[in-house]
Amino acid sequence: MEKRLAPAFLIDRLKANLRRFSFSSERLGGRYRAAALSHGPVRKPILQMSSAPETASTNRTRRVLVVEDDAINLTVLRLALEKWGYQISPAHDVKGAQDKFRHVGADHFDCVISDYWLPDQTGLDFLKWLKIEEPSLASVMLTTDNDRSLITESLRLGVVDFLEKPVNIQKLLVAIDTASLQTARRRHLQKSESAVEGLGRIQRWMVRTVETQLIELCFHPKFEAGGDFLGRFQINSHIFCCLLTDVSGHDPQAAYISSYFHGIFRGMSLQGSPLKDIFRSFNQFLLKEWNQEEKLRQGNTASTSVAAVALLVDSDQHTVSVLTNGAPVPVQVQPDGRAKLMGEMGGPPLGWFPDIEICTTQYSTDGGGTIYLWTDGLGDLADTFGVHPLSLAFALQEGDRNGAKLPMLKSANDDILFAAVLLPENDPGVGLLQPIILEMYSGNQTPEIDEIAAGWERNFRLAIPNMGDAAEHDILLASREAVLNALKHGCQGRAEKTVRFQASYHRLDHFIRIWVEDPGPGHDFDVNAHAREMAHSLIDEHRGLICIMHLARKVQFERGGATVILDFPL
Amino acid sequence: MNTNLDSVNGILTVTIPGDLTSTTAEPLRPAIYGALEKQGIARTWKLFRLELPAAKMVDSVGLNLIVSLLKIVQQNGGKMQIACANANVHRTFMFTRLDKQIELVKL
Repeated sequence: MEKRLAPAFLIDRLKANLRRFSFSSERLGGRYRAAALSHGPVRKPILQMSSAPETASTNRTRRVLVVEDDAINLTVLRLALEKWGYQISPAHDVKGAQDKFRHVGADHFDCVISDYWLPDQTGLDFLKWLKIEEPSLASVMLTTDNDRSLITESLRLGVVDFLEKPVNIQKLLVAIDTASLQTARRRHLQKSESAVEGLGRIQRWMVRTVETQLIELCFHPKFEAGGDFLGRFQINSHIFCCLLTDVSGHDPQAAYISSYFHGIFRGMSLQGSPLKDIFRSFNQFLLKEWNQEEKLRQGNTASTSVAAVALLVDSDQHTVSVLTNGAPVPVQVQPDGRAKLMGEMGGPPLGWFPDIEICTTQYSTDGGGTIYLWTDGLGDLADTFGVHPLSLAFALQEGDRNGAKLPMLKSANDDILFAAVLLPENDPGVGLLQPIILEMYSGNQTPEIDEIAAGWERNFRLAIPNMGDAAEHDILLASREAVLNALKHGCQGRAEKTVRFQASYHRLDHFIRIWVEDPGPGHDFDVNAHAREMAHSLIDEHRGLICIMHLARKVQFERGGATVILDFPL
Repeated sequence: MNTNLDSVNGILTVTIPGDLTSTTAEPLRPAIYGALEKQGIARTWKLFRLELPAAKMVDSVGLNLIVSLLKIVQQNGGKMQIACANANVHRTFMFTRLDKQIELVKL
C-alpha cells in the first residue's frame, strides 16, 4: 500500500504538469491547498522543475524513503523522482515511515527525504529515531522559510541538506545523490571499523593471554589495532622467552607484521635458534622482502621497522639474556628493590640497516626480581608531561586496577604497552617495591637541583596523587639533601661522575623508598653525635644529613655513606 | 627581597619572597648581610625578623644562612625572629632545633 495516495485523475494531471517541467500545487485548486495547510505553518508548492543534473542519471537504482504528509506533494515527488530512476517508498507520517523501515530492514534505503511538518510528529522526531535505528542513513529535510531555525538541529542528526519549499528539482537530485553517497561512505566505514575492531579484539586477547601471575601488563593501543605486541612462552621446563615488539605505524598492517614476527620468533625459539639469529633473520625479511615489496606495490618509500626487546630467562642457570633493538632499554629490579638499566642504548630497530648491531647481554637473576619492558609510546607520553616512564606506567596500572582511564592518555600519539615480567624464584616480598623514578645525574648538575626536584614532584603527584603535603615535603627535602651531598662530596662536582637516584613505591606497605648512590668513599663522621651537638651549639656542618635523619622514617647507609637508603611512610 | 626598619620599636625586617634553598640562599646572603650592615647592627634595632611568607621549603643551605645570621645578631646583642606561613617549614626549624635559639612566629 505505498503507491496510491492521490486520486488517479490527479496523477494524470500531475504527469501532464511534469511533462511541461513546470509545476505548482497552487494549480490544483483550493481544496488541496486547504488540506496542505491543515497543520504546520505556510504550505508551499513542493517542486520547481528545471533540467536535472547529469549525476541523477547515473544513480537510477537508489532507494529513497520519502516522508511527506501532503498527498499531492508526495505524489509529485514520487513521480518526479521515479522519472529519474529512483525507487521511491512513500510515507505520509512518521509512523508509516517507521513501519516501512522496519518492514524492509535497516540497510534497504540509500537516503531519506522528509518534510518537517508531519501529522503525528515532526521530521526531526523521525530523524532522531532514525539516528538510533540506522545512524549511517543520510537524509534531506524539506521545510519552509519559517523552519530554518531548525537547521542546526537537523545537521546534528545527520541531515546532509536542507531544502526550502518549493524545491528546485535540480537541487533535490543533487541532495539525494550527496545523501546516498554519504550513506554509502558511512556504511563502508562502519564495515571497516567493525573489521578493525575485530582485529583489535584479537590483538588485545593475544596480548593478554600471557599469564597474569607471570606478567603484569598495561596495554593502551591508540587505535583499535596497532603495532605493539607482547608474547611469553616456555621453551622447556626451566627456560621461557618474552618478546615485546613495536612496529612502525598504528594500523592493521602494523598489527599484522607484529604478530607475524611473534609467530616466527616463537617457532624459531622453540627450534633452538639463538635470539640473535631470529632478530637477524627478521631484519633481512623486512629489508629484502617486505619493504621491497611495499615499495613496488605502493611506491611507498617509508619502510616498516620493528623495535623489539627479547628476554630469555633460564631458571636453572639463574640468568636472563637480553636483546634490545630500537626499543627502550629494559629495567631490572633486583630482589632488594634496586633497579638498573639492562644495557645502554641497544641496537637500531629491525628493518633499517642490513648489517645491524644485534648483541645479547646476560644478567644474573639470583633471588628473582622483575624486569620492566615498555614501548616508546610510554616514553613519548612521559616526555610530554615531563615525567619518568616508570611513574607514568605506575599511574596507568593504578588506573587500570581502579577502572579509571588516565586523562593524559588523550595526549598519547602512539600505542602504549608496558609489562612487568616476574622472574622465577621470587620470595613473597620480592617485587613489591615498584620503581617510579630511576635517574642518573652528572656530578656537575648541582645548579639544576630545582629542575631535578620539580621533576620528582611531578612524578610523585602523578604516581601517588593522594600523597599528603607533609610526606611530599619530607621526601623532596630529604632527596634534595641526599642528592646535593652526593653531587658535592661523592662526585666532587665532576661531570664524569654520576649519582644514581631511584624512588620506589612499596605496594603492600605503602611507603616510598629512595636510593641515592654516588661513587665517592662516603663519610667518616658520626651522624648521631653531630645531631646531639647541633641541639646545643650552632655547628655549620652536615646540616643536610641531620635533616635527612629527621625526615625519613628509616635511614640506612651503605658503603660508608656513599649509598643512602631512605624510607618514608605515606 | 624587601627590607624594612621600624626604628620606633627597634625591629629590622627582611622579607624573602620564596624558598630559602641552595639555589636562592647564596645569592641572598650578600643582600641580607648588606641590610644588616646598612642599618648598623644592634644599634638602631634590637630584633632581626626574617619573614618567609611564601616559603614551602628551607633546605640545609638555607638553614646555614639562618644560622650565620643568628650568629651575627647574637654577637651584636640582638635577637632573631622567623615568621613563616608554611607548616612544613615551621617543622623544619623545630626538628633542627633552631626554635631553641630563634623565636618562631606563624604568619
